[in-house]
Amino acid sequence: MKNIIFTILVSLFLLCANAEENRFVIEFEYPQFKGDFYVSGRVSFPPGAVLSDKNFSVHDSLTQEEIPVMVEISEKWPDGSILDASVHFAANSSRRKDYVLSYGEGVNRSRSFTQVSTLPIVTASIGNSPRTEESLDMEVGQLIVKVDRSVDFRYYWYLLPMFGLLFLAVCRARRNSKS
Amino acid sequence: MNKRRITFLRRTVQILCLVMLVYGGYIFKVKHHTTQQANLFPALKAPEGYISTTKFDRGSILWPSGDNPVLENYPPGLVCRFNPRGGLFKACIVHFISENLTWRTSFKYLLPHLTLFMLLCFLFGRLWCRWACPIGTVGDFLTMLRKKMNIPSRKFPAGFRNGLRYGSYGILGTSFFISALIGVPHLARFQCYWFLPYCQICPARLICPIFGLIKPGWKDFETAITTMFTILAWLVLGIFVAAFYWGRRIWCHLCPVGLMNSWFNRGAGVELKKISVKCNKCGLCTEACPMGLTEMFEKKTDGVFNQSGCIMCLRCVEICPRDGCLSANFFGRKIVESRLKK
Repeated sequence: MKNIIFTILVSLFLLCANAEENRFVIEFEYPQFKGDFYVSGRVSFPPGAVLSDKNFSVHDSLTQEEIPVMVEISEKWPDGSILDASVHFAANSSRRKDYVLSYGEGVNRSRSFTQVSTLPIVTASIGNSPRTEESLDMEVGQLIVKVDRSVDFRYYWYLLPMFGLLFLAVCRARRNSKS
Repeated sequence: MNKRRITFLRRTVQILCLVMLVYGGYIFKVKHHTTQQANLFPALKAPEGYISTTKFDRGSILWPSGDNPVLENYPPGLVCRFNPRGGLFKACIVHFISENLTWRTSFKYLLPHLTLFMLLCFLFGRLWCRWACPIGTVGDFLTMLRKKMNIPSRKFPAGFRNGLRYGSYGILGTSFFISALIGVPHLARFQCYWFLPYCQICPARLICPIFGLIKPGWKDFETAITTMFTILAWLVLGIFVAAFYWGRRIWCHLCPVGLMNSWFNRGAGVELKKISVKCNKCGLCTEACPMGLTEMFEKKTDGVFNQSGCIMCLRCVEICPRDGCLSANFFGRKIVESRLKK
């Protein structure tokens, strides 16, 4: 019996793992005016993550309420999955919310719209490319492009002579004060 | 002989520095910042949407100087940009910090410039103020005029000098605070009025362009803020002229660039030493000191007496009539000492 329960739990876990769901926080600044506006942003997905435009949706992060979105696919990976898409959804300046874009096989969008009315558009930034302090890695299919940012970091080496000078100046000042 | 030698050397250096700082852009070919230079000292530019001196359009109150100096550095002196060809250096350290506080430049890009400033201050202390600062040279010319007209200089009490020093801290702090404040994105619209607040009232702004044959922005009465800056600039220029004319180097107590240099003065490589047993308490050193300092006279023990206000003019050394009583040293090595006057 224990083995059956264990097998069922492992199977459920694997199923959940397969139906992977990832999230991006959608960041934008609310406009100064009052009223409705569109939030518009481009989002890139890793290869094989989003097979259909139904596989991602936008939610209010607090209430988990799904927000109707309009999707325009711009580019696809060689395996047919979506590489790049434009996402538009409506928002209102009087009801401030935090939006989250969920994507993956486990996501199935139910609410969408296709016709855009004439409203102001606010640009959103969605998602981030994986990056470290010293390099910016962009996955481009089989190719990984490494952008060298170490030039910027060489300036931190100036901290050594700077603190050295400070130390010497303080030591000498103390010595001179005593004499 | 000692007196003449030091005075002659100092005046020669002052004139050379003035010529180099004003016309350095003409003497040396102004070149764009090369990669090698950028690796050592990055050229700092205003980010998109932020104001810079060339974009500052409030009646040219900050004159439109060239953006390509020969060296992208900020030495410890009031070295403003004098002419459209850029000049030798970019600007003074107060300009540098104020500008980059507004631009919210990453600290790492400031490090090379700050390190160079600290190195120069550590080596020479406030020697820059008396030997290299172009505004100081102009002030010394005013002092010379006063001497020619046989008008006696005025003595100011120590309390007054300390007050000026606190005033200098106030000017520096206010300038940096305003610069940082207008760097906040929500307050960026104030940059067109409050950018480089100290530079807008600095006497160098009104005096230096004349050397580069540029008409400085004398006045701007368009708005209340520019009117305030115009009046303040004239007020500070008046204080500067009066300070140099009557009080010799009393202005240097108020100068914020000098204040930043003075932080390193006590531990600087250039040091003044006294052998007290040789002192006859004649008080000539105090009389000669253009900053009105008295420590070299009052000091009763042997040793270094670098004061934060001392501008290393070496007047005390050259005027001292006692053989070897006062000396100027560089990291302990004697450069010049007082000689017996016959």
